[in-house]
Amino acid sequence: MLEQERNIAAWFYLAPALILLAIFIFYPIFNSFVLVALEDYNYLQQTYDGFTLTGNFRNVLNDPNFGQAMLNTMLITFVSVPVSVIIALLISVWLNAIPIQKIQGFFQTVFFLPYVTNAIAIGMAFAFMFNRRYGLINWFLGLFGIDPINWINMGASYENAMITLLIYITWLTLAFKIIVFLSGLQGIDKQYYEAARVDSASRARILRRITVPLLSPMIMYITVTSFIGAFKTYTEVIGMFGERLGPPGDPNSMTTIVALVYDALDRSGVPGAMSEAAAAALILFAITLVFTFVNMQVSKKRVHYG
Amino acid sequence: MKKLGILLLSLTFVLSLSACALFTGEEAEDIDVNIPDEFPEEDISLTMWHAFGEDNQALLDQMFDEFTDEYPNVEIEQLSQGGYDGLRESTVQGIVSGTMPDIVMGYPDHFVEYLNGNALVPLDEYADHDDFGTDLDDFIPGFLEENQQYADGNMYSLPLFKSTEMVVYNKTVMDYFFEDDDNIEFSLDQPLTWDDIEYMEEQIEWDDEAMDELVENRDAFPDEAGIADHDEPFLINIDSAANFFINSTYQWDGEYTDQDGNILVDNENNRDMLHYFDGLFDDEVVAMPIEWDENYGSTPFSQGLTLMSQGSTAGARHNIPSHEDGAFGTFDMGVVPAIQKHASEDEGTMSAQQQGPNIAIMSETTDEERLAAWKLIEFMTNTENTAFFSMETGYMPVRTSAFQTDEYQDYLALAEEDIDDLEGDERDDYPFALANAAAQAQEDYYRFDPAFVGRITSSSARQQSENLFESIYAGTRDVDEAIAYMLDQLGAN
Repeated sequence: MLEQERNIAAWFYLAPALILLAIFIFYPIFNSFVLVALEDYNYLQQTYDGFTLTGNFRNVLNDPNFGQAMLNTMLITFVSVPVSVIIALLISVWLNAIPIQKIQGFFQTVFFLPYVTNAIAIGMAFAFMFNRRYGLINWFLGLFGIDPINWINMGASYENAMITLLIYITWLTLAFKIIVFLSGLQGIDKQYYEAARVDSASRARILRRITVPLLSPMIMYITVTSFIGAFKTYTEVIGMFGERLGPPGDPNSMTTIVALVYDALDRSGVPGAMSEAAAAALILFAITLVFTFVNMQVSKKRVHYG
Repeated sequence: MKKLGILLLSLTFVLSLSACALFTGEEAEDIDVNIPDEFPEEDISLTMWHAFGEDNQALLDQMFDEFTDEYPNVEIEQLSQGGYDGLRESTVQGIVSGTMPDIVMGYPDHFVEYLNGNALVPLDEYADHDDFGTDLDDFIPGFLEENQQYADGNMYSLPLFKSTEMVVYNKTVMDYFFEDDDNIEFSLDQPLTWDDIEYMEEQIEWDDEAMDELVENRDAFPDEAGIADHDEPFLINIDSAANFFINSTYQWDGEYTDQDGNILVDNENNRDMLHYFDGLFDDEVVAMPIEWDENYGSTPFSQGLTLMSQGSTAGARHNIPSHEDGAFGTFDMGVVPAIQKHASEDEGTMSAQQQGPNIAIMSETTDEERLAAWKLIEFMTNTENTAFFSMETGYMPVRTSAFQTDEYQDYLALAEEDIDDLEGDERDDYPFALANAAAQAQEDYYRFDPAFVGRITSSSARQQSENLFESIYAGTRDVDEAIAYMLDQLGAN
């Protein structure tokens, strides 16, 4: 009887979260599965011409920008995630080693600022910094005698535009990682480091043999969530390149899978467009699921849970 | 854990069932028009969605106040949805969720989408009504045709505020080079041709004498400022690459699209046209705003980075030279109609793109609300109000009769004056008068591109037109590649 009452109470406490999840997560996912099965679904009239199993997926796969979107999304994911995780780890270790609390707090605030700043605003600031004519980056390179580089403006090469985008995404995503790693580092027992020092271990060896293994659950968590976040890249591209999704004169060259979803949503008044958006979202969902599964499998072998 | 799983499954099952229930598979019913015999006496509240900024909203409020003086039982609320993309998106969501406005502004591209949801009321019966009708013959024919182009032959909107393209030019510089040259005439009535542009490019020479005479701030001169990759000002900037492409296809007797949604751009005339402009791009005669990382050419024009700029007549106020530290200081500005391939229609096709929003009544309204809405849009487009809005904004009147009023004629006459002789309101109105005079001069050859919605939409065709010309300008693609890319993006190859 008591257990039953406790169960009811537990469900009661869980209800707000469950209701929100049901409305904002489960319903849209199931709605996507329904939408993707409808042929020529007219969003405005809520009507359709029939059912299709693969038709909407084929439309997405045949989209002229699908290949470019896949390439860009993969590049962003497999470059920005490892690079940002490594840089965030090194910065965290450095921050953690600062002996004076006030200075440490100052730098923590500095590194955390991007996390609480709008990505579009930061993107615009980066676009300004990388401007070929008056940008800070070219000015700085000029100090070393390097000619101005066209990073993102009219006529910029794909490579330059992508490098700029990767730098921006890496920088933008550092903040959250640093905070998580710092909290992990502060939980590591100082005795391990003292013992290592007694054994005259080098800093690099301490990092490899003590810090990284003991921080591995955090690294794994950050890696998995970062992969998921990187697969969903879109706001960053808009922030830097605007709705052209590429340098002027080269639209869509920086497009991503999520951009395909938004592109279809933008045509929501056109029959079939909402189903294409759902299909693109489900393709992204499947890709993310596979990579998360792989990540989790790897984590079982590599992560030390204390 | 098991129970939680069951609960989640149940929840999602119920929700997905409710999702399925939304998809009725039934076609929406056609709109019945029942016009009441008399104007309703009960209180009526109308909501209008548009894409205007604060200045134009204040002008609308002025009109609404006058309307509600006449019909005190009608209350009007206006709501800006940001830009036109935001307006279209909000309206689509409004149609789906049943929260659409009573009146909506927009372009035919938008309206064909709304018609997919049977969300617009046909206006023909209102216009023809004995008591509440209006004289459609008074509307400028090209503007009206744009609103009568829909597949079922109905008129779903009225032209509200219209504009076309014009060229603003640096009068100080052009007078210096061409005042005594009989080959070039800057006239509000007669457009310049692309041959004229080539001739001007040949004649302009930035020797020491010209520099001393014209350039007030040498540091701002493109060569020295290093702002453009160019050693002297461009001759002309083109604001809208999409309008430029579409207009040029007509002027070169190429084709663009048709009402059935066919993309017709792949032909020899269009290739000739694109090669011609590619040459002018290479020779650094013609620029686009992306040259300066801008969306419009008004700032580069004001700074002296281009001597002319082709853009919307509704944007007149943005082109007023105001950069004192620009290369030419605050120079005099002139206006001429948009550049043509042919000087007259006897020589070949002339074309000017007509733009500006139309206005429609949405279907989720009662008969009484529809009649009140019709009377409101008729009021907004009557002779006095269309002239009033034009004189305040640079948009054009939509009725022929508006051009003929004494007040409007006096206003247009400002364009013939020298700005130095004008003061106060007249001086403020001067740029709008110039823009309207240039717009009126092109009335005989206004064109609109067909609106259609299907796998390919007219708005996506327009977007790809912009991409095509900008990619040629940026050197990202050559002419053949750009056409192939456009067809590929639209799925039309």
